[in-house]
Amino acid sequence: MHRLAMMFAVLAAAGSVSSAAPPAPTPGRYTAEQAAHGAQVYAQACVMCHKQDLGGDFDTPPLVGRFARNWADSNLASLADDLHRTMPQFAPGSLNAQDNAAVLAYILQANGEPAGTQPLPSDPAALARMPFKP
Amino acid sequence: MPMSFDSPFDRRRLLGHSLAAGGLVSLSGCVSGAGGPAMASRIIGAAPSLAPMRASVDRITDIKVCLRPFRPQGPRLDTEMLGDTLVIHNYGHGGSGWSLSWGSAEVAVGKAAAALPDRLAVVGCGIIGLTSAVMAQRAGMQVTIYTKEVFSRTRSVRANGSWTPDSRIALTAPAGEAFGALWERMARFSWKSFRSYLGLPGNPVDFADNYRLSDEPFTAREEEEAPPPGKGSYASTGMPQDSSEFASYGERIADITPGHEVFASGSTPFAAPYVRRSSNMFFNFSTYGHYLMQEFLENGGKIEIREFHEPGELAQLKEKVVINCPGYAARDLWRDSKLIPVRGQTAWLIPQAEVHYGIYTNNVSALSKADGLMIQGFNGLGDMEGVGDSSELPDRAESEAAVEVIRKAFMGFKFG
Repeated sequence: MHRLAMMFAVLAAAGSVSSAAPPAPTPGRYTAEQAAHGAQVYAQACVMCHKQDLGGDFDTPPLVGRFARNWADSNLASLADDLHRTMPQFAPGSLNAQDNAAVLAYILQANGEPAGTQPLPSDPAALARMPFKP
Repeated sequence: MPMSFDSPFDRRRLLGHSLAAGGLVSLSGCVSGAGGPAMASRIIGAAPSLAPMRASVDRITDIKVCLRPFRPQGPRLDTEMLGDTLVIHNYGHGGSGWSLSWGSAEVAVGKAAAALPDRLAVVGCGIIGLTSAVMAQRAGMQVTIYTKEVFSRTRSVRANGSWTPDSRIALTAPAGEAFGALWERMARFSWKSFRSYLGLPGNPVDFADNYRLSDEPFTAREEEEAPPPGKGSYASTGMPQDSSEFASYGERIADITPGHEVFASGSTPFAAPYVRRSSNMFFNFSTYGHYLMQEFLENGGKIEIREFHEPGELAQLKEKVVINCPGYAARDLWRDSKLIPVRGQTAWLIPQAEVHYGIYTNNVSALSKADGLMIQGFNGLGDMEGVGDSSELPDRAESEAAVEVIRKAFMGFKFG
């Protein structure tokens, strides 16, 4: 139930009910520009396996849906580290810190998190203070 | 989620098991050390009538890519404590995971049982994890499998699934001499375990004849070529550089390894002038997985879908003894940099129940399995094929070329 409640909160934050009630202060943790850059990196390094809609396929795990459940109890430092060490599968570790953070921003966006004014940091200590689901 | 992915026709097997001199009955020269009977290569004149394989690219239903979890030191079977949790590792079986699954599970479960747990966790639901879980139940434990995927979506079922117990299992030098004895124990234990699945409905484990086709007579012994000087080795580069570095233990089980027969020229349905037949055990993924899963669930086994991101998370499980079977994912989860990916790709064509054999010709193997006609091409690199390649993207052109080789092998095929 807790997870479901969080999911509804995120969906609400994503804008589907934005016209209702006074806007809650939900400062996004990445910028739209960062996510846009992440989309470009994704198109170069990730899309061939994880697909255009980030849904993966039979052999490749999705980066939305089940993905959110898998990472719900983790923080962004762990996810950023995993992304950097293990992806892309054919050349792990080949994304620089900036691109890695941008892809992470793109994934957060795809999982319903709104953009904000501050870019997602690449500093592990800062990321460690950020749960996957804010 | 390790796998067996390799053709039973690889070069070292030929070296170990073939010494058929043209026109003469001869004995293999490499099998004397095992204490078993040497394998005869007989010349025979009568070939059975066979149904042809219908190999054409439009019959491809699936292309699977898998990464064998290869460790030069051999599979990881050691233990470690994470807080108050005992972790027994069981991963890194290269191209021998299917083949060694029972023997390796027996080793891991033995270590777990010594800690006297009532409840056990298994991480991973590939062939090593699922087999370990069933083995632990047979030893009296209550088992929960924690996995991010159920069996049918693990890397294990992207494998070849043939009995290839020493395929990319280790490098000779880093594994050390002692590993040979452990390997033999695991291989023999597995062999006997698989026998109990023979003849069951759906043929979870089966044997098939394999025909090797050649334009040249099988006269010369296929020697391992010496590596060119200056190429380096695993010791000097951190990666294997030549097939000759890979361990070969097949002679240890020569007494349970079928030999082969050479057909008199022109006496088979194949147009190829020279044909040799051997037999090999293989695994039908769907039925075999079904039997394993059924036994696991009937004995009260539980499966919890969960993805681990840090090794320390294992210590949070309620079970305090864990058998760790992540397969290739150990490279990511356990930061096991010794784990080397070895890519392999198979094409799967529409199943042909009327075909019950395999062929090998021009570096391509085809084997009719319950879930499809499996076709796999090789580049002639021996054990170095795919080493260090971690791309899991299917290469359709590669598969189409392999299918085309098999299609041509059936041109001029004699029916009935």
